[in-house]
Amino acid sequence: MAVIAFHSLTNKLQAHGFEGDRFFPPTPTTDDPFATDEFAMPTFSFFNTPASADGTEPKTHQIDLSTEFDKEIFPKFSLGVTVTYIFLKPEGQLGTSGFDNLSFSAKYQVLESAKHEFILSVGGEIDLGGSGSKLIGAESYSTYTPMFYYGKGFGDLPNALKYLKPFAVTGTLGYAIPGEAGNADGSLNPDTLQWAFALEYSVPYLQQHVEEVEWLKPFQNWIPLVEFQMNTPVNRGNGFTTGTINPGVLYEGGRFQIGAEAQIPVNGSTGPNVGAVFQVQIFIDDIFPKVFGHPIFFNKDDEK
Amino acid sequence: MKSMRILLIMIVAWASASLAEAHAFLDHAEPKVGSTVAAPTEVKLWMTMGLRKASTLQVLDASGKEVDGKDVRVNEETMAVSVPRLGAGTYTVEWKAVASCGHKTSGTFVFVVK
Repeated sequence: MAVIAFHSLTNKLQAHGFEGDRFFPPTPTTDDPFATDEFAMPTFSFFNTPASADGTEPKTHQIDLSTEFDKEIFPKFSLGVTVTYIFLKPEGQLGTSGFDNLSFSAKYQVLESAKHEFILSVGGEIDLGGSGSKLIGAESYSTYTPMFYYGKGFGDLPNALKYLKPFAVTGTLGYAIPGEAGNADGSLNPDTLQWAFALEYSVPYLQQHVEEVEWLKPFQNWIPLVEFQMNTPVNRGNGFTTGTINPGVLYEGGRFQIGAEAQIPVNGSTGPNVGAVFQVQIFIDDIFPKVFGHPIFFNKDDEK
Repeated sequence: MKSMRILLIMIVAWASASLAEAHAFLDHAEPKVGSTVAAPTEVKLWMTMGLRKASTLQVLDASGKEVDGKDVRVNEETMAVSVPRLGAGTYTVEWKAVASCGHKTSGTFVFVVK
């Protein structure tokens, strides 16, 4: 069918995540489905880990500072790397800090429909064991996570539902396979199903494509959203699904985007405390248009 | 950490200092997006940044036929096209913007003539 087509060459200078009228913004905690040049710097996360039930581990304050860089290598295919620095402060003890394991990712856009504002990508992540600091508990083993990424805007709804058109969802579904089934202390490392999605209501989309609402003018660069981040162990003793629900907002600033979200635990197994995440996303294709915003190889513009 | 903080401040300042090389999005239009109006004589779009002449603008009727005067005028941050006297119905505006820096964006919206 014409509306859903396998990809041909990409358009130059479309590093933002567009599908038809829809701009899918990168969100703080759910990886978006676009294999484009992206630069998230920095992402701050703040949360508290409760004390362990047996009392051996104290309540710990944690701050994560991470940077993610993705580069389109050839049309619709990108590689990325994420570097995270972690600060830990257990109550009653000295604080410690160090790098978490390096994380590498690959992504390929396989299906798109501009008319239906739909995209599906495949890829995966490798968390490189031993590349981080043992002081902050970085695993000594690698974890491999094949993933699906998707995005769907609802601009194709009938006009009777026009105020629902600004809704969009992006999500990921991954299966994380740890390189080692167990640890020296006898604990097990289960495979986990990692599922996440972001549900957003785009005020810019409403104003630009549905209806210009005068009283929303001051908010025309704002996108309220809620993200869900879930992990479900599937073997080796299983365990409970853990995760957070993250209500928040994005601000589109032209060359950059700012996002802020609360992180609310979904259950007692996740923890009792609400955290927060704050992210600045730099649209590097806007800042360095000659370097970013197009693939390194098979760039359509190079053929002209 | 200090050098990282300085780098971060430089990048954010650079990013926010000017939108001169960002993408061109629709700021507002006349007729307004999604509005119901008496027959307009032209359709005009105000974009968020300057445009190149290669930018295009079309007005289509409900059957998808182009009904504008094919005389698109691009001037800095605006583009406009004349339309003949339009009958009652729903019309779709399709625009493709080439920003002054070369970034391309596109979009559609409808308005209704009563």
